[in-house]
Amino acid sequence: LTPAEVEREFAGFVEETEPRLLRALVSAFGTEVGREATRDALAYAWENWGRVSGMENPVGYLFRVGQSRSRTYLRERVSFPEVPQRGLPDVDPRLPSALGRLSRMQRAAVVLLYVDDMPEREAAEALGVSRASIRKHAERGLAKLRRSLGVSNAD
Amino acid sequence: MPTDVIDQLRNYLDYAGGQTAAETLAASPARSKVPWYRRGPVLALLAGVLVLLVGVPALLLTSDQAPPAVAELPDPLDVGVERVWPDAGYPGGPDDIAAAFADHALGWTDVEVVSDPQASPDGPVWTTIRHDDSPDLEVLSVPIGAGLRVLMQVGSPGLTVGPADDGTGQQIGISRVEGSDSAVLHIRYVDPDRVEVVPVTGADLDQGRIEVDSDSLIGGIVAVYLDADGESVTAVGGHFGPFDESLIPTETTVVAPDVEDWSIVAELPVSVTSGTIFEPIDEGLVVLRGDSTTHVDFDGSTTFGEAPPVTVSAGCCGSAVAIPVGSQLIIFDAYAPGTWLLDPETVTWDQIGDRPTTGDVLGSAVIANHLYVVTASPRAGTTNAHVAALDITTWQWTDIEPVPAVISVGGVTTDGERLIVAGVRQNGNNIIVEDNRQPVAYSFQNGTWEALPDVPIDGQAATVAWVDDVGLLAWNYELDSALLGDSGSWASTGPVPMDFSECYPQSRQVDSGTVALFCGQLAYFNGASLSWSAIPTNREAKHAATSTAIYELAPASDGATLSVLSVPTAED
Repeated sequence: LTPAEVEREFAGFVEETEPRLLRALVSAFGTEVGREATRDALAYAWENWGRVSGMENPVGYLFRVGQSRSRTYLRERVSFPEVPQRGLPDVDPRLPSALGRLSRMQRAAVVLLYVDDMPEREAAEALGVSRASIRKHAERGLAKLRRSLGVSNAD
Repeated sequence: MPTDVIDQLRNYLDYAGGQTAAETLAASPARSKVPWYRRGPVLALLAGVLVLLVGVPALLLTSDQAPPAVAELPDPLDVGVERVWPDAGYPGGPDDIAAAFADHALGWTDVEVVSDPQASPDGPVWTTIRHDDSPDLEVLSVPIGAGLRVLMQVGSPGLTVGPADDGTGQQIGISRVEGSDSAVLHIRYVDPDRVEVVPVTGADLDQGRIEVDSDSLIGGIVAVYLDADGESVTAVGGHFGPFDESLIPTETTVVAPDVEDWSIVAELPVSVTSGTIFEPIDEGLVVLRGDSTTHVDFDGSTTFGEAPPVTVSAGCCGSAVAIPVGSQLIIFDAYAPGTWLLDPETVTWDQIGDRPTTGDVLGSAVIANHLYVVTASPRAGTTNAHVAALDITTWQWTDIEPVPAVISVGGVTTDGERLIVAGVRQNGNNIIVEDNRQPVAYSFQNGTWEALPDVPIDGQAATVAWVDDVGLLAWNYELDSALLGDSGSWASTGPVPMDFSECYPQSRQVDSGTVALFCGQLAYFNGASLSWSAIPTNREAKHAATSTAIYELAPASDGATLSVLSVPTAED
C-alpha cells in the first residue's frame, strides 16, 4: 500500500472504531480521562498500524492500550457530566449518578457488551477477564442501572 | 436485549465523550492537508483536539505483547495519620460518619446505620453499618471538636504492620474474610505524606500478608475486601502511627521494678515493643518480633533465628497467637489456618497441619497428649465457640464437640482432666448481648460438656484459671474475683490488687497458685491462703511465667533487660 492508501485505511478504521472505543473508555474512566485514553489508544494504533490492522479484535486491544495509558489518571475521581437540559430529551437526568455508582468493571462490561455489541469473547479479552465474569459484571451493572433509574426488567 | 437503558446510555456516552477526533477533523479547515493523527501536538491543539500525547504511548508500549490490564484501583481514601478516616474529620454524628464511610470506602449508598444506644453521643461510639447481605460492619467514631468526628477503628479482624522478612520495607498482615476474593489497601504514609492504594490478590490473602516497599511510618490503613465480581464485601481499618493523644490517652505510669524482689539476669540485644510476644518453653524463653525469633536461655544467653512465619505486629492488637507446648512453641495467625512449630535448637519454624477453624482465640490448654485451642464465636454471629485439638505427638489437628454456648470473650483452663471454658457473648461494641456466666467443662472420660455453677462476677473481660487442690478461680478487668471450690459454690476472693485498666486479663498456673497478668501488671493468688498480693512490675515490660518463676522483659536504652522473680510459695 502507498502511504496515502495506508492513511485512508487508518482513517476508515478510526471512523468505525473511535465511537465504540470512546464510549467504552469514557464509561470506565469518566469523560476527561476516557477521552485522553481514547486519543492515546488511537495514536498508538497509528504508530503500530502494521500490527493493529492485522488483529482480530483491535477494539479490545486498544481498550487495553487506553486502559494502560489511563493508569496515571486512576486516582482521579471518575465524573460524568450532567445531562443537558436540551439535546438529550430521552436520557434520564439520573443516568450520570447511576453510572457513577457502578464499578469501573461493570460500566465497561455494560458498554462493551450491550452498547457496543462487542462479542462476549472479545469483550472478555479487552477487560482481561473470563467470559463468565464479564457476563456477570454486565448483568449486575445493567440491573443496578435499571434499579437506579426505576426501570423494571419487564420494561 | 433491553434497549431503553442501553439507548439512553449510548446517547449519553456519545454526548459525554464529546466530539470524536474524526468529527473534529471534519469540521477543521486543515482536514484536506494532514490527517489529525499525524500532525503532532501543536496542530492537534489548533484543530481543537487534545492529542497531546501522540507518540508517547508508542514509546511506552512497543512490546509485541498485549499491554497488561490494569488492576482496577479506586481513588485513595482520606486516611489519616492520627486517625483512620477521614483525616480532616467528618461533620455530624456517629450515624453520619458511618454512612459516609460506607459510601466513600465501599460504594454502599443504601445502608442502615445503628449507633450504640448506650454510648454518649459526645464520646466514642460504635456504629453498625448494615447493607444488603453483607455482614454487619462496626466502626468506632470519636468526636474531635467543631462538630466533626473521625473513625478510629473499622471492623475486624485487625490489620497488622511489621518489618518485612528481608528487612526492606514493611509487611502488612491482612486476613481473608468470608466471601472475599481480593482487597484494596489504602495506606497513609507519613514521610513523604501520601495515601497509597495497593491491590491485594487472593494469593496475598491466603498468605496473610503483603509487603510494601516503603519504610515510612504508617498512620492509618483501610482495607476494602472485594468479591470475585469486584463488589465490596466489607472493610477493616486500623491506626498504626502516632495517636492524637487528645483522642486516645496513651500515657502510662511506669512502675519501677522492686529490685529487691527481681533479679536482673541479662541485658538482651532485642528491642521490646507493645506487640512483642514473650513466652516460656521448657528450655528457656522465646521472644517474637516481626523480624526475628530469639531463643533466650534462662541464664540470658540468646540464639537468634528465623523471623516468625506469621506477622507479629510491632504495635498492639496483632493477631499472631503463640502457645507454648512443653519444649516447643506453636504459632499461627488467629484468622488464618496455617500453623508452625518452633524448633528451639535451630530457632527455625516448621509448618504443620492447618487448624480446622480460624478466629479470635479464647484460650488454650494442654491435656495429656493434646493441645486444645478454643476459638471464639464471631462477634456478629451466633456460632458456638469451637474447639480444635492438636495431637502433640503427630502434630495433626482434629475437632472435638463445639462448646455448647456462643462465647465471644472469655477464658480457658484445665484441671488436668477437663477443658473448662467460661465467657460471654458480646457484640463489637463490647456490649454483652448474652450474659451467660455459666462456665462449661468438657469431660474427656465421657465425651460430654457439663455446666458449672454461674460465675458471680461480671463476665465482661473475665478469665479463669485452675488452682491445684483448690478449685476454679475467675477474675475480670474490673478486678473482681471469685473461687469455685470443693463446696460446689462460688465465693468472693476479693479485689485483685492492680490498677483498673483496659486490657484482657490473663492467668498463668504456677506451682502454688495463679499469676494474673493485666496491662503490664502482675498479681499472685496464693492457693493456700486464698488471697491476692501485688507484684511490682515495669508496666512497659512483657511477662512470662513458668511453674516456678516469672520473667520480665523490659525495654532498655540498648535493648531489653531480662529479670527473674521466683514464684511465691504458699508460705510467702
